[in-house]
Amino acid sequence: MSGGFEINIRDLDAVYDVDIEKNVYVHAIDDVNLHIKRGEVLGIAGESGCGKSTLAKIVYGFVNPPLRVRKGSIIINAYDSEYDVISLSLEERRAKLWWRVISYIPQNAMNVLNPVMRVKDHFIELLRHRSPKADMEEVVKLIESTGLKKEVLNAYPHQLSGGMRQRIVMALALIFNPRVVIADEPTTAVDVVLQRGILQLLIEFQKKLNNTLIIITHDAGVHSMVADRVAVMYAGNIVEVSEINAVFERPLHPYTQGLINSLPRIGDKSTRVGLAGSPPDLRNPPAGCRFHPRCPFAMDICKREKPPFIEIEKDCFVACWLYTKG
Amino acid sequence: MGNLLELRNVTKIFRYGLFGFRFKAVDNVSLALENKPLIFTIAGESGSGKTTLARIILGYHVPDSGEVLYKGKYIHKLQRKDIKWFRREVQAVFQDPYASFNPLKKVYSYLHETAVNIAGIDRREADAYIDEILKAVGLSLERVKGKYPNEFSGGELQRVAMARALLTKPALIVADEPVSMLDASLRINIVNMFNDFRERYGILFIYITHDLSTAYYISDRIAIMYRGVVVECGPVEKVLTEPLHPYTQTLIESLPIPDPKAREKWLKAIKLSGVIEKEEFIARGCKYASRCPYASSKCFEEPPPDVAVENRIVKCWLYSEQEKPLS
Repeated sequence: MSGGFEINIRDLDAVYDVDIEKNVYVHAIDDVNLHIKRGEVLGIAGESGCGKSTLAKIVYGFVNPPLRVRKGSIIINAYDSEYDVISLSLEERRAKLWWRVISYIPQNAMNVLNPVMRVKDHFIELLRHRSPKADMEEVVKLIESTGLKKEVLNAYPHQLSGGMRQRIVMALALIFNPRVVIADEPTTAVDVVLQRGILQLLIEFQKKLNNTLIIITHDAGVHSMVADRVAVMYAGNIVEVSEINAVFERPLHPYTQGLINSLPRIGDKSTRVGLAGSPPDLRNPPAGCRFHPRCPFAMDICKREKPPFIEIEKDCFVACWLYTKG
Repeated sequence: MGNLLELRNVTKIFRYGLFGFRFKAVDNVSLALENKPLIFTIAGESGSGKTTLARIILGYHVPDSGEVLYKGKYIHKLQRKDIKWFRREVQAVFQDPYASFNPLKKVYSYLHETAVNIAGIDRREADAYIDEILKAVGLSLERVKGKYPNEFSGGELQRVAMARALLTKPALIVADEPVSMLDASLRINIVNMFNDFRERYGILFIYITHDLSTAYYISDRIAIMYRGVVVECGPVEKVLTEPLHPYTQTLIESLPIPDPKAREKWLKAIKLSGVIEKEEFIARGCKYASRCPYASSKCFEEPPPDVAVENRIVKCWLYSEQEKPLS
C-alpha cells in the first residue's frame, strides 16, 4: 500500500477538546491526506492557527489531551519496517520511533536546553539511553560539522548565543541519523543571517543523510529557498500540494493565489492586495469548503459540499471545486 | 523649513542585571525628519535598538544624553499643557493589539476617552466622530461598540488601534512592528492602509520593522540599525537594492526571497560566526567589525564616521577615504 513512501497520512482528523460534556471542540485537522516521499524536503505552509504545527505533532506521535485523533492513520516506513504512529503506545514510540526514525526540532529551539546541564550532558544522557556505548567522538564530529567549536560542549546553555543553542538542538535531533526530521518554525526567532546559515545546515545534513525533512513555516520566502514540495494548509485542511516552482508560478487554489499575490518583494513597488476577511473560528468552521467566505470565486456548491482533494497532474493536488470538471 | 522631528546624538544606556555590564541600546543616533507626509522606516534585527528608539521618540524613555525635538520643543522637558499637545500630535500603534487593550475593558471606551480627553471633541459629538474615523479603517461604530478585545480578530483589533491613533489627528504616528503579529494575507491590507492615510491625512509615519520587504513596499526613506547604531540611512530604493554598508549587504543577501529561482544563490554556503552579542554592544570601534569581511584594524579601534554618499549616509570606514566625512 505504501511501498515507496516514507510517510503515509490517511484521512487524518484531529480535534482539540474544549468542553467534552457539551461536545465543543476545535476542529484543527480535517480529513488530511498526504504522502511524504523518501529524501525530499517538504514545506508545510499556512497562517497561524491553520493546523500546521498540530499536524507535525501528530506525525511525530506526540498527541496529548486536549488534542485527540478521531480517525485516520499515519504509517511510517523506515528501516524495512512499518510503524503505525497513532496506535503505538508511549513506551513503544520512545523505544522504536523517536530519535531513530523521526526527530523533532521544536519551535523556539534555542530555549529547550536544560539550563542546569552542560551541553555535553545533554548528549551523554541521550546516548546512554539509546546505545550501549556512548561515543563522544561522534558528538564532537557532529558539533564541529555545524560550525561550532568543541569547547561549547563544556558550556552551560546560557553562556551561548541563541544561534549556537539552535545549532546544538539541531545536532541533538540529528545524532541518530533519523529518517525523518520535522523542523517546526526552525528560524522564526532568529535574524536573517542566522536563518540563512541554519537552513543551509539543515539542507546540507538532509543531502548527506538522504533523509526526509519537513519544514513548517509561515514564511513563503523560506519555502521557496529550501523546499522541494509544499503543502499549503488553510483552517485544518490541506488545500494544495505541489512542486515548489509550480506553487509560485501558477498557484491553483484561490487561497494560495491570494497568499502569493500579497507578498511584497524588494525591487517591486507595485500595489499588492491581501485577502479580505479573516480565517474562520475552528470551533464552528463554515460548511462546505472552509475557504468559501473569503474566496473571490465562491460558487453555490462551495457553500454546501466539501471539495475533493484531486490530482490535477502528476504530483499536483488541489482541493477546490474550480478544478473538478476539467 | 523646520524639521518635524529631530534627534540629536541620542544615547540610551541600559544596565544588564544589578551589577551587570552596561550597554548602549541606542548609541549616538541623529536623525532629522522634515514636515512632509512620508513613511520613514527604522529597520533592524531583534536587539538592534529600534524599539528603544521608538520609545524615546514617544517620550517613554528619557535618553541618557542627547535630545529629541518635536516641532522645535524638547519632548523630554515638556510643560504640563504641552504634554497634552504632544500626545495629540504624536500617536503610537504597537505590535500586539491584544496586549495594547485591557481585556477587561470594552474597546469602545478607549476610543471615547481618546476622543474626549485628548482630541478635545465634545461628548455629544464624539460618537459621530468615532464612527467617521472607524469607517476610514474599514470598521464602524456599530461593529465595535459593546465588544471586548477578545471578540475581535487580530487584524480587526489592529485596525481599531489604528483608528484610536487617528482620532487625535496626529502629525506623526510611530508604528512599532504593527503587522508582524498578523497573517501574511491580512498584513498587506494594514500596510496599504498606512499608505492611504499618509496621503489622505498628511501624516508622517515612523514604521519600525524587521521585515525589509514590507519596508521596501511602503516606505520612502529607511534607516538600518545594528546594535544601537544607524549604519545606513537614505531613500529606500537605493538602500535596499544597492546597499553600501557591509551589514546591509549581508542582510539583503540573506533575505529569503519568495521566488524559487533565487534559490541557488541563496544556498551558497555562508559561515556562521560565533560572536557573542554582548561583546558587540561594548565594542569600542565599529560594532559590526567582528563580523565584517572588510574589517581592518582601524575598524576595531575607532567608531566609524557618518559618511555622505550621494543622498544617503553610511557609517563605515570603507567610504570615508573617498568622500569627505560629515562632521
